[in-house]
Amino acid sequence: MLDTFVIPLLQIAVLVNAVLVAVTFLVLMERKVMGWAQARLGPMRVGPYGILQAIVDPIKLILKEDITPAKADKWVFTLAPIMSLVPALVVFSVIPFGPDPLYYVADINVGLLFIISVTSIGVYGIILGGWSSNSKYPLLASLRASAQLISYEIAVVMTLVSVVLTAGTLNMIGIVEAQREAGLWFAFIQPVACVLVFIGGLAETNRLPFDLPEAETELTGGFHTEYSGMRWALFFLAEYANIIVISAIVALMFFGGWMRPFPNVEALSFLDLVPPWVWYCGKIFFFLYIFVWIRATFPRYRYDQLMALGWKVFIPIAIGNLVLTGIAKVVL
Amino acid sequence: MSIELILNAVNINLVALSDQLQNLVGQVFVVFIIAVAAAEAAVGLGIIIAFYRNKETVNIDEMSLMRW
Amino acid sequence: MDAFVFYLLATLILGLGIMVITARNAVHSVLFLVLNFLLVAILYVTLSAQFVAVIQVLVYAGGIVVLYLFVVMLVSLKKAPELRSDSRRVGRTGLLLAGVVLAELIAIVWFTSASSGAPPAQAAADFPPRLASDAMLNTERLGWVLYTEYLIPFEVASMLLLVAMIGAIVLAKKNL
Repeated sequence: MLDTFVIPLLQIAVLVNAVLVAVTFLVLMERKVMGWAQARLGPMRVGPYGILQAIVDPIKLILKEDITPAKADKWVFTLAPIMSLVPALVVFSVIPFGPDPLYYVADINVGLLFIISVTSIGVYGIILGGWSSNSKYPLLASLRASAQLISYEIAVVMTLVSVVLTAGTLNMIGIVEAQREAGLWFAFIQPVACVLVFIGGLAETNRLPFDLPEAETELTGGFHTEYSGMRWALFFLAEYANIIVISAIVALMFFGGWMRPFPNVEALSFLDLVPPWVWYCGKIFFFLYIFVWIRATFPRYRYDQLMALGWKVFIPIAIGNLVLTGIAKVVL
Repeated sequence: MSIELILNAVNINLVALSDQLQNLVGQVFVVFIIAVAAAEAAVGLGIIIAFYRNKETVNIDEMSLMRW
Repeated sequence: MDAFVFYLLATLILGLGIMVITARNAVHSVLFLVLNFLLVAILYVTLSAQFVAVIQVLVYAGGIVVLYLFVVMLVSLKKAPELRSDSRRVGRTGLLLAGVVLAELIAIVWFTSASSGAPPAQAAADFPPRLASDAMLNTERLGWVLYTEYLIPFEVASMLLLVAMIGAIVLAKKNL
């Protein structure tokens, strides 16, 4: 009873809360870093250096009026934000934050496939949100968003397959252990794959420079134009939770997950004093920072450029990488 | 979509029997069925789109002409 | 516990299946279909077919149904087409067909139950000896069977997908 229900439920509660709190602070971090990048201070009013802004923002969103457009499809309109947030949170159940069972909720042998398939459910929230608003710009934006998501998902999945070939397992823990056995992070064995997955992740989370679904100047606000208050906040949460998911996957698959740098070098064993989950969270934080950094630096693509990049550059490179990995695997 | 439902019923049967008989052939078949369903959906929906572009309807009773 | 989960899942799946074909709004119908597929995937997990379950979610729920949703949204079925005048005849044909299938299933169960017991042992012997151990995971075993015994069907299926892809592009494109 204790092992089958209580502990997993506690883990889930802790994990969901941690992710949601992380999202609020990620928003704060984004505003601060954007501010610094543009030579201003960012939020400063609430709390010391604006740190309480992360708590004030959700309160504001909860208190805001929740509007349903008169011509919207009410059921689908309510369902869409939920359908986009839930998959983003479910993914965390198979991400291991450390080597022993306390640090992960579930250890399934098709872990990576599970992550891929669950994230592919998230596209429904976007399509349905745009459709149920019964308004033309959200519909256009949602068509763009889902087309973009599906195209880049192909490239990302193809690339992840080559990593799976290198590791020889689909199990998330197995992938980290394979990096320990190789004595090298997969970022050095599969540099092309690493870059592809990260850029594909940018596109899948609709971040700049691929944020066309939310391009303010062309589409007013994207697929969630008609949403307000808490339902809009759910979309927002889903987007940022997805950013954390991508960072977590990149950190886990290419940068050794919870392991310290150079896990096989004895001289560095004093680094083990830092607990594994701290290493992992530090790596995730690093990639979150890169996400924000890229947003502050790069201009936006045009839609046809985006699609051409996805289909004519990324997918061929991913397939080539896969073939090369296969050949290397057979030869070596 | 009804076809998908029917195929799913078949898939459930195959997986259940493969579990019962400890034989993986059923699951292999399910993988093939899913592949065929994907192909069928793509072509079928392509036909519907092409038809809608020409006739502005997807009502099956209107699809009585063999050529136009 | 297992039986309870199964009957719950079965009821939900059947109920959602009925909802799919009776829903007035095509988009709602697609949504019920997605839910149905997700529940079927859970059913596969309880049958210890994890790989098929994941593929079900990935290909069906994440791919095929998104395609349906796109088409339903683009074609925008404002009003449902009127019922056919001869719906009685269709209903009767359907009932007849369903009866035939039911009879067929009963016949299969009837004739195979007599000889059950033998297949498991024989099937276990089919696997290569070094793969027969229980430690082998479902995914690995499936991959092994797929790439050795069923290699040619597998290649044919991939050719079929390629042909379907080209065909769909040719059909959907306005002018080549």
